[in-house]
Amino acid sequence: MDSNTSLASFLHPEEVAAVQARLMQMLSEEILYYTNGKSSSVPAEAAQSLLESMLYCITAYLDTLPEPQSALKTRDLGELYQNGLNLVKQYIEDAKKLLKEVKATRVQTDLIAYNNTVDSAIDEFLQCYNPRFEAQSTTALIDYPLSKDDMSITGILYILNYLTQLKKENAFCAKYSKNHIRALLFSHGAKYHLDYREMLVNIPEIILEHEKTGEPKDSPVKTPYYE
Amino acid sequence: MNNSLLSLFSVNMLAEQSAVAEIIELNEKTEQHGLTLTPADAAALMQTRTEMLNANGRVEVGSGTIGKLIDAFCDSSFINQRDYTAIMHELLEIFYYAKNETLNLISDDELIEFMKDAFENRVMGSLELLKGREIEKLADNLRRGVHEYRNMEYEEEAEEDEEDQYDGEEFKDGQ
Repeated sequence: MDSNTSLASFLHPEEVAAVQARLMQMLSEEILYYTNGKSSSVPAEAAQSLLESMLYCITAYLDTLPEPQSALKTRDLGELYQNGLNLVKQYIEDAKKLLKEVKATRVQTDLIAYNNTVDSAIDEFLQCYNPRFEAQSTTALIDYPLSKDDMSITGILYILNYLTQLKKENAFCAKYSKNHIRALLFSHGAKYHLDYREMLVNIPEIILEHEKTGEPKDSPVKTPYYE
Repeated sequence: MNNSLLSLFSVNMLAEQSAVAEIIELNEKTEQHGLTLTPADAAALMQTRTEMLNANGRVEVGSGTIGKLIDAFCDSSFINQRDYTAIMHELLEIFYYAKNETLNLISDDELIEFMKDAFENRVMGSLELLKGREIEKLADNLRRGVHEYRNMEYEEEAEEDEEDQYDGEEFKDGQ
């Protein structure tokens, strides 16, 4: 489900009005919480972000329910938000565990984008991620491209998706030796006159591309000239 | 923020009629200082508040700022009944301008206290100086992370020091 437009699609116009009124009430409380009660006004962008964050949490929670439509109609929006916020906080813990597993199964490679993503980018995101005020944010310097990456998802759910997929890709790459992967990357870089370490490529895709050419999986690959 | 959200705030959060009534209630206090607002004045202040929030790209919960400004400024020796409403409109404008300029680093209450102190003791009722000098200096101090950001005297002292130094040099040259 996607944010407030999908939320509204479940409801009759009068129900939409009631939800909007309740949301505005919750947003006003959130603005005062955000400013620690020291300011009754905030820049419009901050209010927009707070509203999106609340909607993100509500939607994340509704997505876990068998009948989100009826929950939206019968349960208080504040309760849905609180449950959603707790869920998003749980997702952060899930992501931390998943990141550990990704690190434990990492591909041994010189690919800078891969290493930066696994070593620092996601860690930094998890440290800076604010589930209360910016749950919808995906401000992360993740350079490594996945073979399957759903960019329509945002926030911690994107990171969970990313890590789940990366773990799968790690498992796939584990079937191939470090040297084989390195040689394939090197060849790919040489083909496009690039330093292979700086390439923004997906390792499984390079492996599969190589296999499509018909060469056996662990066939000897030309050794880089500098070795 | 999209317009629909701003309009929802206008409709749902202001509860404009009760806000006007709350402003009028403050007449009980301000009358002691010879100042009163009519319901039309209060409604006009609410309108200015909405315009200033929109002009400065801000969203406000409730309409307590007007009441706080009235409460703080009603005993000013520089405000009389004739220009009371006009000054309140300008103070509202300066307040929301200052909230942006100070990067939201100062609370509402402290900003109003600062404005009142400056209005009363440093700019002697000049709204132009309040906005153009005092608020600008405060905002500059806050943006630069000056610890004593409410101290407006550093520059004046520095200027005085420079002048003293210049006078001294002039005196020396004269010798």
